[in-house]
Amino acid sequence: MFDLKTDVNGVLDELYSAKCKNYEMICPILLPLGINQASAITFSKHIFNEITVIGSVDKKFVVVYAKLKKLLIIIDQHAAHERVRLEMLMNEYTHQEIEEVTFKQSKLKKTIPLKLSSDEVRCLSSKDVNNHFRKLGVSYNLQGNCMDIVAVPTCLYNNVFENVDTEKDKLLKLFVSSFIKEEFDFLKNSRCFSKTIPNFLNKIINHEACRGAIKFGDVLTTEACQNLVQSLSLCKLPFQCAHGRPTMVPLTNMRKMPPKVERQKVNLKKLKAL
Amino acid sequence: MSEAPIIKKLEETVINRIAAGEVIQRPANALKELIENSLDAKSTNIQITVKNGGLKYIQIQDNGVGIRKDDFSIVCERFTTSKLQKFEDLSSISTYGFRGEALASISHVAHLTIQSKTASEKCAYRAQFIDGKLNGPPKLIAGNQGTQIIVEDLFYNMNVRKRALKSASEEYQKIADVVGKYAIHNASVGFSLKKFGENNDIRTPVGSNQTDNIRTIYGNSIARELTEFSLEDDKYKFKANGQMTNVNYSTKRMNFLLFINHRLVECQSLKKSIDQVYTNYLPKNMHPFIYLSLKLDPKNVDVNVHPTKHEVHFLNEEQIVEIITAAVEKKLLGCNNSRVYFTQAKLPIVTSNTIQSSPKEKSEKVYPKELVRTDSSNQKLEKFFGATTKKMETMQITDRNDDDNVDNKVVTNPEDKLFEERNKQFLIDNEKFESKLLNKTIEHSPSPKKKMKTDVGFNPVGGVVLSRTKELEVTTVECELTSVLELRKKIEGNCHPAMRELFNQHVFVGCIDPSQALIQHGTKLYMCNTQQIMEELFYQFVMYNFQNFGIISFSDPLSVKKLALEALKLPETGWTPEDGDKNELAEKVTEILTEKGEMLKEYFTLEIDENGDLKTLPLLLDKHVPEMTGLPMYLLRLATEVNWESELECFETFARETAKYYSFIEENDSDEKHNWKWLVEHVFYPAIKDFFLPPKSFINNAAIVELANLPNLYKVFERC
Repeated sequence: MFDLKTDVNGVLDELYSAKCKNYEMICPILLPLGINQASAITFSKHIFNEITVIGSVDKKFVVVYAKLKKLLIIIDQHAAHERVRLEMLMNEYTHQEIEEVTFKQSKLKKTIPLKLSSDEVRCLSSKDVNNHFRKLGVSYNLQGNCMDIVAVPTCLYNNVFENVDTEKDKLLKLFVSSFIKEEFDFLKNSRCFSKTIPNFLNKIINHEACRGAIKFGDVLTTEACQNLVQSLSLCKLPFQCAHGRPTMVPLTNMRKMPPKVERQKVNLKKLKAL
Repeated sequence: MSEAPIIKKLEETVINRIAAGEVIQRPANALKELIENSLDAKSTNIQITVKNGGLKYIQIQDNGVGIRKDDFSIVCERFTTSKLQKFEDLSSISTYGFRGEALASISHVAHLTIQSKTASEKCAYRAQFIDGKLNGPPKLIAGNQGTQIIVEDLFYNMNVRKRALKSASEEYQKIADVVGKYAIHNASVGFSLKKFGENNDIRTPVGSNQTDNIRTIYGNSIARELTEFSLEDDKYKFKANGQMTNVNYSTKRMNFLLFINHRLVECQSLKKSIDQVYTNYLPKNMHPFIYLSLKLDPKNVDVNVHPTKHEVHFLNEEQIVEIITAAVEKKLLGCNNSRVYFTQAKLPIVTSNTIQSSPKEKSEKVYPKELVRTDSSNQKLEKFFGATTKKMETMQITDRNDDDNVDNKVVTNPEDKLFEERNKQFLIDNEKFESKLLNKTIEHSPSPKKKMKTDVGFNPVGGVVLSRTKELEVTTVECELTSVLELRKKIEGNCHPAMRELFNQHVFVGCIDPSQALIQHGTKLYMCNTQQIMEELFYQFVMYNFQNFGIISFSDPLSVKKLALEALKLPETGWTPEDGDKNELAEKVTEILTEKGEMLKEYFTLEIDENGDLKTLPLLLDKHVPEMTGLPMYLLRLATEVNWESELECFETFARETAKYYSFIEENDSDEKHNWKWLVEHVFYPAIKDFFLPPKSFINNAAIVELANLPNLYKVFERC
């Protein structure tokens, strides 16, 4: 039954691309335009302290101006909001303590039974593994070679129940089984417990962040732009969206603009000559 | 049932060849062993030359301690080494080699030549080896300090292996990989690698550092995104340091350089765990570049688990991996910086080529990146809020420099009808635009104007009263002065049609400061010099509304002399005692302007009465009153800069000065509804959109520059 893993990833990808189709294309990564070391620009989080919103371009991007650096910066409104939502959802779905992340869980109305291989049963007998699954928000009863899942991470539960219209139970089962399978795989391969967020949950939260985010074509008022920049500045990783694409890119350095033309001096001599 | 076969001992050469085949699996393994020997010999410069992917020829030249002549006879026998004496030494081994296996193995599967000179010898010795034995005594030969080893015809006696390694370029790739990794880890040692008879593919200088070597070998795109990290753990007794790329870099294949106690090894658990950390931050299916040097207590490492030594076992692997992974993630999140971007060094200037008139290809597919989401005919709600309140407003302007503190009330009155009427002419369908454009510029000139006037005593309370007065006072004067008509013609002849379209169909984005604003046209984003554009536009307004201006009138007339005196006080005037007495100069200004008062009033609605008091200014643009702070200077410049002698030049210079004055906006960060931002967005740019005839000179003077276009933005944001 664990062969379904590839299918689940497919389902997620399909959901993602279907949602994205209207306003973006998923394509390979390209390097920034034109390489010229002399004008390389990078900025840190401090840039947010000096940013003012200028306006919205084509209902897709937000142009802002960093006064001190004299830098015109353009923000991808979807990518930026996706990042904001991602970090918000992470806070919502997990308890974050120092170097440890625990997922909140949701009780299932009906338990999901999973058949395990003898390897996996042996694996589960370890106290560390139990603890690991508890941190991920998975509760279960072990009966022979069957794992009765009682509770699952809230993010996974919500994703199925709040967003899919049909065949919820089937999809939930698919998600849960492939999630657990992935964890077993990882435990087997790495022989240790990762403190990072499992790939699968990460993907689900990313997906949710993307789905609810401001899209291209959404009209943003100046206040909305300001709020977006403000909440982006509070993010841990403000410069990339959930899928690793950049959220903001400098447009131009205003220092390079030609200087203002000075007005001609008043011709007082002409007056005097009169 | 057949009889059990007899167990025989294999021949020595067969044993050795089998063993050698395990240690030397491919040219890169042989080279790795040789590099390690060179490093053990404390070399500081290692040069490698390779022919046919190393299958034909590998030469490695170092400047290490060398091999003593007496040792030549046994150097290639199995289990002879200078690095290990007893088994217990293995637990504290700090050299690469320890088995005495490398050269022996190579000599069993290839033709091996060694040439070496130690410091104590006068010259070098050279010898050839076959199957671990000397082939003839070492010969005296001239040579440099160090050892040169030549491996020829690798696997000449192992046909299957040789056939399996058929791609020379693939083997060369592996060799380059090994050399590159050692060059990074041993940054102080100079490495060079080249194909026989070609230029160096890898070259690192002696005494370099790791970042520089990563840059030379893996490229700048990795090197500039590197972050250094190091950690130490007392509990499990290890040190780790290295370089990792931040979240801004990613590649399709993970590049993981792991050295444990200086040995290039693989460790799947560590690699997987680190990659897992990155998956949360990198784009899908993308991986980082990591260089990690791990120093463990030699007691805790078992190096002797794999014939090619590329795997090692160490104690507390799980915990150590966990600690390293956590450190990597922490470091990764600490990277607050954005990636490096490159802005255009030179600003592109708008040219007639870049501004194309409306595209005609209808059948072409429209990609999202080319899809424009805004409509230039859209209007924002704020505009209307602004307009209604403006009507009720009475502006209070205080001449701040005046001691008498004269309060002057300026009342402006918007004339919406006038604008709506002209607006209609400019509501142009995209398709018909071209043809209309031609008519437009001509139509524009003699379009009938209505003259409207607002008196000071008249308080504009309600729209009804206003509209009545308007109708009563409407008089239109056709201008028949040839000089004005000529100047108008000049404006029209100088108009850039493509840019006209750009301004006509732009969508306003926002203001950077009072003189710079962003607009969008089609898929392109432009930056405009608002002040420069408005100066041109006001100039055009003066020309086209000649004799037909609206009126801004002062409740209390202002003394021209007082104003001129104020202007002379300003530092920008540059007054010096040589210019004469300020009072006298001010008198002269009053004199000139009063003398021309009648003409100014008739043509430009600038009224100065016989007492030398300024009563009115022309209303060039509805809802706009020029900054009063600039008024003294304006009057002074009218006196000095306008050429009053010839008619045409007089009009032209007067219009110029007026335009300069009117186009100036002060940056005041008031929270008022009608601050400069409101003015620029809701008064200036709509006027530019409707009436502006951009002169051809705008192409070159940076009044408008292209900043970006949507397809490029999509690219930078990796949307396609």
